Amino acid sequence: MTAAVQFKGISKYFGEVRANSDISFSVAKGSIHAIVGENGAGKSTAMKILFGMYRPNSGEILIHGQSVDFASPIDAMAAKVGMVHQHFMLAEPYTALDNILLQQKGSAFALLPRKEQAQRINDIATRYGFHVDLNAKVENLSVGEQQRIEILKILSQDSDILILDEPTAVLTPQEVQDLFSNLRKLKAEGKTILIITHKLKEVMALSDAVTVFRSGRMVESKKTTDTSVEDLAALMVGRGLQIPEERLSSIDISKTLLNIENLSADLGTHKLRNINLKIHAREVVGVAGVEGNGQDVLIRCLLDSKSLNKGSLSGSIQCHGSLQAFPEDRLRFGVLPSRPVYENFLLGQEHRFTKGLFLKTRELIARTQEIMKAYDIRPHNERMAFGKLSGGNQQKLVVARALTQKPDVILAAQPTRGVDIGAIEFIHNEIRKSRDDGAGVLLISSELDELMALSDRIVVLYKGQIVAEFTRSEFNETSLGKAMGGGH
Amino acid sequence: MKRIFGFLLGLTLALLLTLFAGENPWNVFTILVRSAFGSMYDLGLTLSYTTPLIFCGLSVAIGFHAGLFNIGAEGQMTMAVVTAAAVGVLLPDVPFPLAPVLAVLAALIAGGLWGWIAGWLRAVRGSHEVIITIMMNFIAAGLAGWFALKIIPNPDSQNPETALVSPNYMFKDYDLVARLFPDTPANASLVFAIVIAVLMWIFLWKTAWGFKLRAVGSNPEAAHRAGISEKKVQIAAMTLAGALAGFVALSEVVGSAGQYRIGFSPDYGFIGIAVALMASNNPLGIIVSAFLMGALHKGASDLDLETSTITRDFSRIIQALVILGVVAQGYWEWFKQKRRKG
Repeated sequence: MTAAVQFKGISKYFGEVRANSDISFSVAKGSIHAIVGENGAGKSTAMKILFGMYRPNSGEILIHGQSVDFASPIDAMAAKVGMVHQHFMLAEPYTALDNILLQQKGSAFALLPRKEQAQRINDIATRYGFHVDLNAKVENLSVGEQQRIEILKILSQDSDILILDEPTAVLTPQEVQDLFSNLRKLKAEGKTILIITHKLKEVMALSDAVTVFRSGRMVESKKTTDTSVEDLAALMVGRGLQIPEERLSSIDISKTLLNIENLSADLGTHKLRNINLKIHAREVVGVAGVEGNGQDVLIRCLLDSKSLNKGSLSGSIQCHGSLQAFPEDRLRFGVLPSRPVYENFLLGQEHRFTKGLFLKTRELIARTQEIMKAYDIRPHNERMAFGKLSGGNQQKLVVARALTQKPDVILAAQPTRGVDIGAIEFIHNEIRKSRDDGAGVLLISSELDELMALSDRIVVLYKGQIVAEFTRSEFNETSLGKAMGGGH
Repeated sequence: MKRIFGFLLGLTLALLLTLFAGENPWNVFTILVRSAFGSMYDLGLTLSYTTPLIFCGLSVAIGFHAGLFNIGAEGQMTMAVVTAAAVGVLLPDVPFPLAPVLAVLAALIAGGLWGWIAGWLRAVRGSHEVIITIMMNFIAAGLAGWFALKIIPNPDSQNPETALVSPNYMFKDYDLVARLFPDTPANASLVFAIVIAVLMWIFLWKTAWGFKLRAVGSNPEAAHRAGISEKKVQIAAMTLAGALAGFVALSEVVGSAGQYRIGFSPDYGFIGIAVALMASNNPLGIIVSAFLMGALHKGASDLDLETSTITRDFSRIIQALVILGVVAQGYWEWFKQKRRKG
């Protein structure tokens, strides 16, 4: 039997960064195939190549045995390949039906047979269990419902091959169960499903086969029944899992650096309710939670409370000393992607490199070079556009910029998102060093491993409230996971 | 001058167009060149167009650096020129060295104010600066017309223009550039324009304020997180843009005409957009691109006389095609970069 999808020696470079090198594997027709790997392992890049968003530098892709060369997602969709992105591509002020019809083929001036189409889409929805109110506006729907719309968009075009990028990252456990049973129905109808994830239990529960990515390479591709969670974890990381460092209690309880009391805030979609949190010197406090449970509101309260509607904000935040942050979305909030590295290093610390009216450019460049060497930010070229650095190197600079200012409080939001493994370890160690030098760290992360590796305490945010708190000796994935899903 | 290819492409296309009018493109080209640079008189006229184009190009460029599209240079310039003329007419007794300084200061304030209004509306009310500045252009034209026709009209002329400023307000005999190009409006303000362009380059790339302005233009959200107030920067950038356009009062009132004449500007403010784009908003490049656009404008003026079918309006066609060529080159670079990425 010919495979539904076959990758043959696919390589993809972004500037000097190798996102995919020599990827080869095949996906059987009518199967659920999991793609696993750590952040930055190249999973999404490979899938974006399959969906025509990127063109590979070399190699070819076969679909049902036919070699294809997609110049854009339009070509991919014509070949019945559909993709649900991690960040949904929906027009929020419009209804679910509008969003689905937007993707339909046909002349731009043809009248939309809305009624028939609505009927047809409803039929598809019922058949596979993706129920959604087609006349509801997308902005009023939950994340789970929005995801169903994305899937319906693909199904309504009769696609055979579905790519789902981290579909469970934003879902509650119940929604995950619903999604999985629906995906099984799709499989029974002969659809082929590729699902990107880094949650290994989901892989075991759902998939027929699994391909493991590590640092841009395909390291294993086998039947799920022939493997185990431990197996996959070892393959993903490429080394035994690190045992969390034993922490001797050196927290300085007498010195509170950040004190959040009865903080409530309302940002429309996301809220915070009655948050109490203290961070002491030499302490790392982790905030766990599925994204969208109030982390963004907490960050706004800490960094930019002026921009919040006064009426919706109550409680107090006291910060004793200086605060520096690694922004949760570095490209959006942290940097000037089109500007050179040294200007990005300058951002936010202009006062340190100014004499009178003028910038001390020579000193700035020397300092940037020093930092790039110390943090091994490659290539060692301070004049390169920041956006051309790889994710790991970008984040290293953001971290360096914050930590070299010797802050008393560090807000580390998703400090290693989209960062390669080597850089993750490096960044973790830098955070530990700052902590040992007396800083207090608030670590907001969606990676349990990261939280458990760094934190002295972990609080769990769920629907804007702290629903659980664990001390280091109590850390374990199961109970943390449960609390993140709202169960206690 | 990275965009020189776009400029040449647009110029070539425009020249080829003259084939349709039955002209020889090479012939048209030589007329253009001769008319722009053929004699000291021609060169003087070209330079007299260059000066206001430098100021307007800088005005548009500083907006772009802050992430704002200033289509209002025309209106800012108009307000400044009419203000300078009004000062010169209404306060005739101010002595010489002080008088031009006073007139230009008043012009900078008027132009800056016109820009400030747009910047303030953008920053505080969220109104789009493109819409605001376009509307402000019309308001400026209306106000200036009212001044020229009703408040301080020229009693000795049927033309729609203000009265002449008192002679104390003008360089005239002190102007070495004007002596170099007799009988043309070229004047020392060209030197000022070049100095201002260099100062702006220093401001943008060598000062913390310039960096903050560019940071807001590059990524307002990141600038905000870094403690830079994007509102202040937007207001400041538009005010500076207005003041830069306002410098045209120096070349027009103090340097040459000594009055505000309705229609004195062949859309300097709008050609300034092309000037800025052609130079990728680099102040030093703007000096060159303003000179090229000035030359085109002057060059086209003789087409009327020397060809049978082409009129001076042809300069508009050349300008349009040059802008298209420059934009196409920008798009091409963007496209190449995108293709390389994926």
